[in-house]
Amino acid sequence: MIRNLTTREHEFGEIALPQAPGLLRFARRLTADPAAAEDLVQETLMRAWRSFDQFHGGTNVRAWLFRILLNTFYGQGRKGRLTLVPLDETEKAEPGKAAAAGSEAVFDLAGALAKLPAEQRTVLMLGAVEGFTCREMSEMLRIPMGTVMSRLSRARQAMRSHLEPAAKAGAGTQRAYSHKGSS
Amino acid sequence: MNCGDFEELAPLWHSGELESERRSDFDAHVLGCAACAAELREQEAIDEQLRAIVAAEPADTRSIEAQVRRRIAREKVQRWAIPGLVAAAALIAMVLWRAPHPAPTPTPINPALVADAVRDHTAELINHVPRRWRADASEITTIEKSQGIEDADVKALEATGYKLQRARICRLGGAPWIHLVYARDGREFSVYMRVKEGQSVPESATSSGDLQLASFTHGRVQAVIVTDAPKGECAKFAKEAEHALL
Repeated sequence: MIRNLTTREHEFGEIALPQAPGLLRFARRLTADPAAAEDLVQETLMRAWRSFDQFHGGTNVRAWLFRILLNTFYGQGRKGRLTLVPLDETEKAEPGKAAAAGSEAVFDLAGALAKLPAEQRTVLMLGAVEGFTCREMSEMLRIPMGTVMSRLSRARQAMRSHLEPAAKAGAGTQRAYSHKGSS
Repeated sequence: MNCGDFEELAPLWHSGELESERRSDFDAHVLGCAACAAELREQEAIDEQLRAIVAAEPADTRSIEAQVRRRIAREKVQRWAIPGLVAAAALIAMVLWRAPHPAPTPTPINPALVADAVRDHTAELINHVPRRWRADASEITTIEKSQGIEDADVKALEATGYKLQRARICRLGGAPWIHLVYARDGREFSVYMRVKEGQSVPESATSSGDLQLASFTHGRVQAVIVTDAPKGECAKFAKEAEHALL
């Protein structure tokens, strides 16, 4: 039995722990607080560990972990231990960091993302950045797929309206429209 | 397809979830509509830049991973220590039982059963581990039959005002149990049900962390209830469920 536990721990280290950087980046956007984000990821991984013996091989481990992270975050929020801080406050507090990361465009984009309502920012991060499908997000957030789609549309529209001048300038340098999924 | 359809379906195009026929229509519209093509291009550009920004962020998780490994190691110790403590407590209880004592104490629920029920409830109702649930009435009936539980028993609990949501088979204490999830006023209750065999669960109530547990055996059915509802609500549900069973 000790051997089984050790094997399980090894599997957990192989399967779940490598997802920590992605979880942390997402958690930072969600909490807007680096320390809270680290706590959230740690708690997520511990919850995942406690349920790991019921995790089936072949299940999408990223979707599973992100769902636990979201449940943990919103569960903690309800109990008042974590609060959803508007992201723009952090961005305003650390303008040098954004500038150092690249360019004004980067700062504009981060600022535009921060201005989105939390529910739109969440689906945009999950869909555009983390690559989850609308169906996966619907299951993860326990909301209808149509709601996911409309939040994504509104999020992209809001981002465009915030960034219109920069996006138009950048569009010329972006790759031409191509059929997604075709090779 | 028109520009309104484009707006609606663009999220599915980005995620690659458009079926081939609709994707062809979508692509044809975009090729023929300069405004939608420009919008799609801008959306793609924003998504790409977001991915680039996030990917460029440093994310050193070594301290988090180390902390998680330490906590796992600690929990492993507890996992072995707690059964030892339970065994010691059982031994002390046996010794004390031989001595005269003032009044009989209620029989506790089997600790292994409690531990499994708490673990199962936490995984499935709190952490939402992906599992296959049966929500369709006919499928739930099939599960009940496979375990020798009468459909009337399951329905009887609904008569108390708790709505049956879903069901699946799980294992508690090494034996198969039906895990039924009932809801009322936004709260979910796990009801683990099994036909009585050998020693049955006693009428009892206990708690584990934030969770409340209650158990009873009525007729040929034994049940264990787990919920994060307040203690009184758990006991009330257990009492009503026991009375409702035929």
